[in-house]
Amino acid sequence: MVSSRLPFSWGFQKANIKSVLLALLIWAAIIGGSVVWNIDQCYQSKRNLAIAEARSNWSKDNAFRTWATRHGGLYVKPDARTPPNPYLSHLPHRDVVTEQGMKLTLMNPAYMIRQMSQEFDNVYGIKGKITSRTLLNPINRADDWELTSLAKFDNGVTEIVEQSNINGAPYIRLMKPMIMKKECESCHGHLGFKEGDIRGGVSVSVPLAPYWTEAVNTVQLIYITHFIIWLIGGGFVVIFWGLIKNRESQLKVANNELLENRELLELRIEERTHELLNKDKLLLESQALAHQASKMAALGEMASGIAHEINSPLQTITLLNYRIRKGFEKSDSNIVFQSSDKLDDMVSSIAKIIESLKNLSRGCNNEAFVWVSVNQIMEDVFSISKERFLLKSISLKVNYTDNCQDTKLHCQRMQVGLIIINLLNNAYDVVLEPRDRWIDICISADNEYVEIKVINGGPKIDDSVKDKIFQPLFTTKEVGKGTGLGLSLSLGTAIAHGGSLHLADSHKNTCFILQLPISNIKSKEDV
Amino acid sequence: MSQKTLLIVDDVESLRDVLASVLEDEGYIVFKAGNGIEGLAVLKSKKIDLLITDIFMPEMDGFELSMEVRTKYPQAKLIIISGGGNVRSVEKANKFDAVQAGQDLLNPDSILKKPFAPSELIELVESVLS
Repeated sequence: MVSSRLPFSWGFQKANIKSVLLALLIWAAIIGGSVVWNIDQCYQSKRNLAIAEARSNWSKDNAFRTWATRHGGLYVKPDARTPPNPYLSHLPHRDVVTEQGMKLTLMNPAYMIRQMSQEFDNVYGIKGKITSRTLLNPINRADDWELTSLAKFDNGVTEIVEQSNINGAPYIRLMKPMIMKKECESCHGHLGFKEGDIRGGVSVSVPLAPYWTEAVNTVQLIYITHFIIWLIGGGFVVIFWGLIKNRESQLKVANNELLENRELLELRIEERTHELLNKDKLLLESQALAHQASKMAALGEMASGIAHEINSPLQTITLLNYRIRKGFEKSDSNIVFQSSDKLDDMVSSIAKIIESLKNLSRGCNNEAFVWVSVNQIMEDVFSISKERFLLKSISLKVNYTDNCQDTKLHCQRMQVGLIIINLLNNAYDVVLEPRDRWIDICISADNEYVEIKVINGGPKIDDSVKDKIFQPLFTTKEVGKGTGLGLSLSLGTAIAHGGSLHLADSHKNTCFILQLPISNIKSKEDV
Repeated sequence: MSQKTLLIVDDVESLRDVLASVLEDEGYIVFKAGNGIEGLAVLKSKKIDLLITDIFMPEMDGFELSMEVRTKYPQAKLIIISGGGNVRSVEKANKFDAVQAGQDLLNPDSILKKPFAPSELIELVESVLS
């Protein structure tokens, strides 16, 4: 039965809506991943920028502080913004008066940096701070992050950079330890610090807010570009899906057609097989019928020929009888005897015809092989078929080469006669045009074979049918006229005699050649 | 009254001979020929009053002969003896339907179909010639 598998299909799963959605989702995931990574990269780079800024600020502060430390601080005019530092009151020369009477107060590096940082913070938002767990000025007190960082310095950490919140706002905070120098001892030595000790830490905090503002713009751009890319990719998926859908529906149609055709074909094959089987049966039946018909046709031909042949002698007998009566009336015995003799001739000529008929009727397969002259065979043939050709004004001539008419051959007399009758009958059906109305029978013989050529005025037999004419049941005659058995049966008889029957290729008209051995092995046995 | 001359053309010698004998007995002068060509030769040399011919013969058939006679010897009467016992089948079998064609074209004085009785022949000859 018909397999349900489609003849054509795609290599992958069918393109249904689910797989399209899945493809779009995967695409979205890829784009999403890219968005996350890009945003992360964006923030990372902004943070790195902030860290760089923190480091440069720290370095600048450090340079400035180092410079100030090397000078042991600076004397400035005290005012409301810069009062004498109360946490340096332990220094004897904190406040000095110049020779001109100008009052000056000492700003140690820490004091300077704190003031500068406060002012920078106000202007730029960057916070700088010096802090320690042991303080001169409590304003420098460390917050929680700074305390944690200070603790880490004890473990040998030399720099801490972290993002941390100050008052809820994000900052990059950088802190490095501050090492006591010789110059520091004048201000801080009383607290017990020596050169090389970690006095505390210097930190710089860079606000991330401006960086984040920039990042948000970039991120928006990332979102927009990625969305566009997703849309384009998604569009491709949808278009591709549409193409597949289209191709699939075409395939489906084609497959359906194929399946239908296959079913139709199978049906047809079944039908044809059935028909062929029936035909086979019919053929066998018709073969048998044709064989029978062939016999009947031959019988009909014969009967018609015989009727014509007998008619003339019968007519003659009627007239002779009339003459005999007249002879008696006239008492003319001459007439009586003459006519009576001729009556005998007529009777014997009729008897001859009947003899031929008897021979023919005996002409079956078990007919005995006899020695018979070529002439006798031809007489058998003509006695029953000559009239028929005459009736149709067909010229029928026999030529014997080298007086071979008396050559005797050992054969089944009537079987051989029937071959010639069959060839003549075929010729009879062919020579329709008046100019073609001739049949020549050319007979020749050598020591071994007798050759009988039957040539008629019809055209050469077409090449397309040449090979088929000896096949059983092949006929070129109208339906009902030919049985298609004549030539095949004739060929069979010729072969059974050790002879042959074939068509002469070279002749311009239709020419059949019958060759029969003068004597063959089988006939010798019979003798 | 002078004797009438007849020409019998038939390829079967025995039939030709006995036909001639029967008609000679009736007082006619009878010439014989085996086919159309022989018949024409006789017609050339003799004055023939009646031609009795068979239709189907070798060489020149009765149809052709009759055509010649009708055109060249219009005074001669014509009796055609048709083919044989099975006239219908002969008519059908023959392409130009000789008997029918003979009647139409040649307008023979009579057609004699085989087999015929001798008296039939004699009466017919008499009536055609009178």
